Amino acid sequence: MSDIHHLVWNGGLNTQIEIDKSLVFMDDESKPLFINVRLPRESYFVLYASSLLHKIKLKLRKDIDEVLPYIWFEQDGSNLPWNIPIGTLHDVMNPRISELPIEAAASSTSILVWKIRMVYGQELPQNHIPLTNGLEQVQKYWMHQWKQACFVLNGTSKQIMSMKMDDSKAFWQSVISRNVDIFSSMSDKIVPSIPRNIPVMVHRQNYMDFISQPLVIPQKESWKTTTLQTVLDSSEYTTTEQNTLAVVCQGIDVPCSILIEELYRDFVSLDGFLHLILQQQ
Amino acid sequence: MSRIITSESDTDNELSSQPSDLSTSQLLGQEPPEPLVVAGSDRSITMERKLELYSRRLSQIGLADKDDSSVSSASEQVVKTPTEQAAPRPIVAEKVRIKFIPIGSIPAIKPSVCKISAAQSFAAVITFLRGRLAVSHVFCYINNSFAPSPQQNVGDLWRQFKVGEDLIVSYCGTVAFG
Repeated sequence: MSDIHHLVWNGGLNTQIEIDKSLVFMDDESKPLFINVRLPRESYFVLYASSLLHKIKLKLRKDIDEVLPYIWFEQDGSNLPWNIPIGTLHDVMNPRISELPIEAAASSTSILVWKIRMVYGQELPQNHIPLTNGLEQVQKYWMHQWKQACFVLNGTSKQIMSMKMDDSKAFWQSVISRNVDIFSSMSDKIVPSIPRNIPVMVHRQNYMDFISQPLVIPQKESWKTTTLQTVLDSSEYTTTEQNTLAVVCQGIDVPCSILIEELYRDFVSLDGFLHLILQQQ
Repeated sequence: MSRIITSESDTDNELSSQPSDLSTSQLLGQEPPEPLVVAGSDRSITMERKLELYSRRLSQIGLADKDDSSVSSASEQVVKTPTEQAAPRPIVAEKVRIKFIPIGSIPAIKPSVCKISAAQSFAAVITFLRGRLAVSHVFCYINNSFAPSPQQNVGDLWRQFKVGEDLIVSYCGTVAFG
């Protein structure tokens, strides 16, 4: 595993979460309740929902288990789906660092804080997958994402479906416990030295519902000449506006000349996909 | 941009040897980002596209009506839903073929091969199957292997995982491939 992937895995976001007033005991005139926390980019919101609620359990109107299936996170009124990695959600909903005011981006005394809300309601947002089986459902969803990525990489899901039960559990536990070494050792069993195709998901800035999955195949049967630009060129969604788009991956701008296979190995997310965000320059 | 749902209940229960059209089923629950519905005559298709393009242009210049609105014609009912989260996908008239294969005791649907707009999300496929089978939930798998996310685009899945010209979707009443 490369140093870059270690940095990616350990990346975090300073997050201020405003708690929905309907979740806690408070007067209408009371100040909103906030939780300040640093969340890892490479994880899912839903994995932290319970521990966040524990921080405010003395103020909760209902039991944690009772409210867990009915909470979600949102920014500026847009749902942040739990099934997309936290870092990707941040990059979709926020401008690039290079676009921030100079004083905010460059000052050594300022901290960038992502401000979101934890919302509670019986009527879930449209793009929210209902959680009916707790963390087991999250694990299954994550495993199916990996099976899909494995299919794209190898042309079959055999590598992951034939994984030993202990390995499979250790793989998931590495996500929960954030153990990059175990995660890498398991993912190395799935990602071949020469991939057939590369699993990529393309998102658009400010469009939470837009997920495109382009077919990323080697140019002239070699990954040595297949760049990010090649992928963009083959994407039907970007051909008319490529000159005005920047590509963000794991929070940073990536040059279009970079080899897509290298980008995948260094920047792959916890679900086996390379998440790219197209933002306006 | 707007989302359009079309219902043509007459065709839903027909048994036919020809591929059926998923977009003719009524879509409930999670809706696709921008389904392009082909129903009725070519003229109605053109009108629908024109309306959609017009709506998109209005959105771009900030004049779009954020409230729900509906438009209906003699042959079909078109319901527009809020536009704020619609994605900048191009209008794709392409349709892709899906072959449905039952697993276990769940009944087979006829015809087993259906056509769906490439712009639909996989949630539309799940909703279609639930409606056809009259069940509250159904588990779907691509190539007897994995369950895609409901937000994933059917056209993307077809391009990535098609076998011949069909996307193979197996379905089951219980978990088949954990």
